[in-house]
Amino acid sequence: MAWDKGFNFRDTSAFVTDGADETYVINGSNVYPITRNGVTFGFDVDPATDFRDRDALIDRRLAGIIFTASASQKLFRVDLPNTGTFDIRVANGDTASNQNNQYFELRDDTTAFRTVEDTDGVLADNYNDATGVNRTEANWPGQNAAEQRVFASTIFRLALAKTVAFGINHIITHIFVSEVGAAAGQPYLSRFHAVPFVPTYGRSLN
Amino acid sequence: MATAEQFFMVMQALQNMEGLRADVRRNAQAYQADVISGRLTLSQVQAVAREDAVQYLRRLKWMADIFADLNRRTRLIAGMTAVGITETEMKASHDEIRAVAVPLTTVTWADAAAVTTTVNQILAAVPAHDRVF
Repeated sequence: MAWDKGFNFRDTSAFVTDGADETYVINGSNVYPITRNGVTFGFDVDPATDFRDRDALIDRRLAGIIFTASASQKLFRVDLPNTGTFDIRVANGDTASNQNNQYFELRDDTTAFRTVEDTDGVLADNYNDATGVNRTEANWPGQNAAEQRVFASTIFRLALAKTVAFGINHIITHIFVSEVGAAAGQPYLSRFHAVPFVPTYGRSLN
Repeated sequence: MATAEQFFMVMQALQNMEGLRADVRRNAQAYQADVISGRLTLSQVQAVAREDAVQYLRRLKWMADIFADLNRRTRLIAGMTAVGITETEMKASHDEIRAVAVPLTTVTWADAAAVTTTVNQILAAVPAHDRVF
């Protein structure tokens, strides 16, 4: 079974209905460790009141936001089931408002493997994807590009905002983490049964 | 009296255990709600429940790891003693959650009624602790 986990950021859980492989990250339920939808995740520090429900009539993944102020970097952590190759998808924008300079880093534990530093910001109804390309609200669902990474660790982090002044507010709308395959040269271990595959040469598989 | 580091160890342990308790209960209620609403199919809910259970056991192991590390154990016990929490109480909470997590890793549900039965068992076995916010 594929390991696909989506995170929709908004103020209240009932604002929209999440997809089957998604869960919500909301005000009052966001500090690591939280376990929901088969994954453990959360922020290092509670963004407190900086959650918003925006528009329930658009794509559910873009329906709300959390934000953090310039120089108030927040780290959102997702525990991966194993090392290996994962696709990361992001929506960084706001359906309701223009947003000034945007900044986020995608990290393999503490190592940044993609930095998006957007010095002209995003207009309302626009979103930077994981590769930093601006997509309109209509185009993001079908055109957003994934950032692929062979994770050496089992911790994915998204760092939102710089630690120094840059812009005004930094937005996160949606994150999707999807396993592509197990790390090269290592046996695939089931998440439920940590026993490597044992060849059954010459044996009947009744 | 505990040092700041000892008290911080207690805070981390309680954040994990009390958060886990809340997660176990909230997720159980969500399995039932998702089946009833049709947001997830029975097999999808079952898969999520099994994955959740694996995560529960992982978080319980964090506690076992603290107790297996002499320095951390010493800090935790000192901090717990200072605030009046016994090792017995902490272990009881751990065992309460583990008792529902282990069977949940292989749970098989034939229908919505079976989900409800399991959910009721979980909610009874892992009672809610008073949460102010």
